[in-house]
Amino acid sequence: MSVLELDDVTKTYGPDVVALDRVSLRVERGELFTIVGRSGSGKSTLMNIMGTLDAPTSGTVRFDDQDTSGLTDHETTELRARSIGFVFQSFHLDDGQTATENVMTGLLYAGVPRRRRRGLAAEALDRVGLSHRLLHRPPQLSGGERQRVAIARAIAKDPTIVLADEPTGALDSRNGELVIDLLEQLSSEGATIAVITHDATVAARSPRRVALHDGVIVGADPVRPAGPARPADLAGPADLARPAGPGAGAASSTGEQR
Amino acid sequence: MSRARLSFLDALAVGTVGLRSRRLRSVLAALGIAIGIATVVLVTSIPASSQADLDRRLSALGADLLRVDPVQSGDEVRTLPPESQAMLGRVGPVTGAAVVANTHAAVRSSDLRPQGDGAITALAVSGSLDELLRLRVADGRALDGDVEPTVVLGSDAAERLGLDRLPSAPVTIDIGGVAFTVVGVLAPSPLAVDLQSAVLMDWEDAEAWLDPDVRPTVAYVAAPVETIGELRPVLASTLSPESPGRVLVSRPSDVIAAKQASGATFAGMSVGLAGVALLVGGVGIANTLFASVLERRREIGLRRALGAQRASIRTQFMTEALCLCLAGGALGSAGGAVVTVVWATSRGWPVVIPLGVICVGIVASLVTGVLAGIAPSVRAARLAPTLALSAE
Repeated sequence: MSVLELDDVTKTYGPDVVALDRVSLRVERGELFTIVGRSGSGKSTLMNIMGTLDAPTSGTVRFDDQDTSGLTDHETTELRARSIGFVFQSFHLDDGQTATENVMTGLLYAGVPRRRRRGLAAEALDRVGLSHRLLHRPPQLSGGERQRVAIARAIAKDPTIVLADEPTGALDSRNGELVIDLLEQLSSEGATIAVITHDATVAARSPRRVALHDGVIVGADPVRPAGPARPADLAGPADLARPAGPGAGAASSTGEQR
Repeated sequence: MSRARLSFLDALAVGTVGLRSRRLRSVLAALGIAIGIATVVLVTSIPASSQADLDRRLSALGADLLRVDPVQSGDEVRTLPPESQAMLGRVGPVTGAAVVANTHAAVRSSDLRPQGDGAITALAVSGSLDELLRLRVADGRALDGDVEPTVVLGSDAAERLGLDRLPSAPVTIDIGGVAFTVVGVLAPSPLAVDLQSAVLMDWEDAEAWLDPDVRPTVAYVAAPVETIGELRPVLASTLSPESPGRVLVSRPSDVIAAKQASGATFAGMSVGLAGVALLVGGVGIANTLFASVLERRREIGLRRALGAQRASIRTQFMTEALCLCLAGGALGSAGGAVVTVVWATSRGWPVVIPLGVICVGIVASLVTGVLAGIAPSVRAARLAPTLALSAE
């Protein structure tokens, strides 16, 4: 059952800039899924649209079988509050608040009663291995620990999907690996996670990958067993394990599994 | 379920995040409001304390006193009827009456001086004037009705004659060619300023030594305060039945109160200045908040990504504005109160800080907060989450 489904999504800025061109993809419940592409390939635009932070110029986005195009700003905000967790490259933590308080901020807008927030935050921090850092503030934590706090904030409300935008981008390789280990572990526990990255190493560890280039999906791995093969489906793991280049081909913009 | 509106405690917690992380700037912004509110408190509390002091003094001096003067017309010197004291004493509510007569005799410090001191008048008094005017002897003793020509000096007259401290040996002054022995000096009395520049003698002495036909020029009457209003026309018609307009009945304490009332105009101007100070403080708060919105675009973006509705962002920044202004208002009220206490105490006034003013100050600071917070909070709420998140 798909959690998120994009169909022919196009996003343009003015008449000349096409950030996404007829992108179709589907995210299944419980999967760990990677969108890989170089800087400027449209990854962040795709994440913003998947996370309802931005609306497509054309095409449809369905979240839990609900078309989001007809939703008001109030309703999409409520959808984010309830069902989507975000992890950002630069953590976006409040340095003045403890790890627990930062995680509690993620619960504030989800409508979790005040008295339950601290307990849920501590639970989430425990899940990411930071039960010994509850009262530490971000400046007292390493980069990897900060990102784990951000991940705890994203998962504390038990969202339908976690969208992680370059979660290892600001970390050294060792901490980056630890964060990916954590995302894999959360996925194995049932969380649906979409990782957006330019890092081929990170992408290589994902069970399913979609390559994005100039706003077009240029490859998907693995190829879905059902349905006719499309050029993008034929891109091999070797192609996806490195950032897609201009010559990667863009005959189809479809990365969904059929 | 997500909520469009934050609970009060959540709004308070979220609304003070920015204040806690930018403490110095918050304090400076709140200071602008504090100065405005402190000004409001000061310009109302200090006059109120001063008024309370005056009321206390008037109460001590007596608001129960009426003064009767003949209305002068042209060159004719009018006086009151010779029996004024007795006539007034017979009026129902009157509890005491006294008359004063200007003898028009020249007063000289010594018979060697060729001319009298024109600024000093020689007054004859009859009745319980000391009691009515609460006259107090600062040095020596009061008049006691003895047969010798004796006087007491008003405080200004004593100073003018160089006798503000009486020498141990008896001292005399020349009044209309007669040597009067000075037996006492009066303390200043705000209710009878004209007596301060006079020398006072017993009525009988004036008749015996200066003028056998001395006539009253001023009368004083004491009566219960609640009867003062209705007593005025009665006194006028008692002393001048045919034309009551020929005498003027006044209350000395009213003159002092009127003087004080003129200070209220100044207080009004000060309240205007306080308004300007509040306005400047409000603009400072709005400026601080605008800067804060610009600086915190990433935070706003994050909160929107986490599910904060536009209304929640508006609430956050509006709460911040209100907290700043409220803190400024509380600080200003406390500061104004402390300065009032110090000021009033140093002058021996009772401390009066009208509770209404504190309430008005707090409400004014809240209104300032709302006005200053509207534009920045709307701007913050309108930020697109994607743009806010990508802000440097």
